[in-house]
Amino acid sequence: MDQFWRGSDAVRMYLGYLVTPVYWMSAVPGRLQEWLADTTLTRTQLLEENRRLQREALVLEQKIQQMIALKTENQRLRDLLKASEQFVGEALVVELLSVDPDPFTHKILINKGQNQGVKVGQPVLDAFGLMGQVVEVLPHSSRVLLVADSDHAIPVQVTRNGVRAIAVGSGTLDYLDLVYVPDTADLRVGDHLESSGLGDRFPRGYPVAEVVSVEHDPGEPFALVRARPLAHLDRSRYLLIISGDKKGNLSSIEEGQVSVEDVNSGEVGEGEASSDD
Amino acid sequence: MSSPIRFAAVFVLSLYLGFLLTTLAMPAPLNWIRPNWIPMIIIFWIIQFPAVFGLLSAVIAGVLFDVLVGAPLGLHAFTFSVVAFLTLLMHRRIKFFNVWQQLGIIFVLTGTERLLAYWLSILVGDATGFTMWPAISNLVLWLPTCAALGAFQRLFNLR
Repeated sequence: MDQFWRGSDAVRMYLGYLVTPVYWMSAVPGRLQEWLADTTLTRTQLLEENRRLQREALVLEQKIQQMIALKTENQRLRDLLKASEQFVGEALVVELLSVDPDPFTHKILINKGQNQGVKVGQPVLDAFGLMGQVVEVLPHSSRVLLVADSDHAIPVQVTRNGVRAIAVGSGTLDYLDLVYVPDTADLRVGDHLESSGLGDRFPRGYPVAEVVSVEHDPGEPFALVRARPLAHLDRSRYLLIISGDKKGNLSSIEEGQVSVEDVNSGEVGEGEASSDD
Repeated sequence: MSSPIRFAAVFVLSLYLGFLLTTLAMPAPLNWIRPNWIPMIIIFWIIQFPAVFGLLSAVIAGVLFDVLVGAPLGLHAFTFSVVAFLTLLMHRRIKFFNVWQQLGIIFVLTGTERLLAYWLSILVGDATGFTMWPAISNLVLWLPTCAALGAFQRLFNLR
């Protein structure tokens, strides 16, 4: 039906109202456990956490200050080069609702949908890297295909030297496969891969994965490269959806807005902050 | 409550319970043996009330299920209605079968549903993978499901 009839999207949308409560209900045990864990924390633990967060906030604020300086400098250099406008978007904070029960796919359900301005194709991040993209939108929830799904591929480049490749999901959450990498390509274990922005689906420069193994098999036409996704695909609970098209026009998202710059600085500060405690 | 409303209420309630069990988060290995609750529920109600439930209820359940799991709209509507049709053909026999024969029928019916769904998803280019484990766990869970749905039936005083 989906293949031949355009109206099925609208039907799906309305039926979505009927089935979304099921997902809310199935998320109840997890929320209950979270609530219990929150309410049974002792005062000392809370104080400890508060102190730790304050320390982290301090580090992050300092990073932001550096960011601002770097950004203006970057802008100036870009102006000098007459380079094109860089992508600026806004992020919508979403919460994980459930994981797709099909053991063959890696999809998750998030708690924001069409009514909050989510659209098919928007990239989804967590605090550590790129998670995936929105593939289906219901009124109050949407489905996200993770980068590790075997149907998913993302154009990436090595941060160190800009070598481009395509990271294809392997079907397991542990690693992505880099396909069509020539044996002579300058790829090393430990290289960071970021989204290259080719293909117009993902914005440029978000961390995707880290190379964990490079194998040169003389019998194979291409090098066998594996990379570990940086995003915590199976643990992250709060995620970000990046919105806004290439021209920088922002779509209408009213609530829960965070500017992308904040997210980026969070990523930069990550190593420092975790080594702090 | 009039009886048609009661039938509809019980069906919808058990359906939503099935949806809930389908989407409930479980440890990853258990996902492989997650039973197909919805066909089991449909089969149970058709065996109990072949005059009330039939293809239409299977189609409704299927369309809702498609939206729930994000399958192409109509895929499970078709497979569930095939299961419902087969059950309608055999419900008199199934009622008089002993437990083992009944379990065999359940295995074949839900296994057929799995195969059909996989086959159709290949046709529309949406295939993910095929496993027969759900049919086997259906086999194991058929009697408990019957007991639970039977309790439902008595609760709402359906006959």
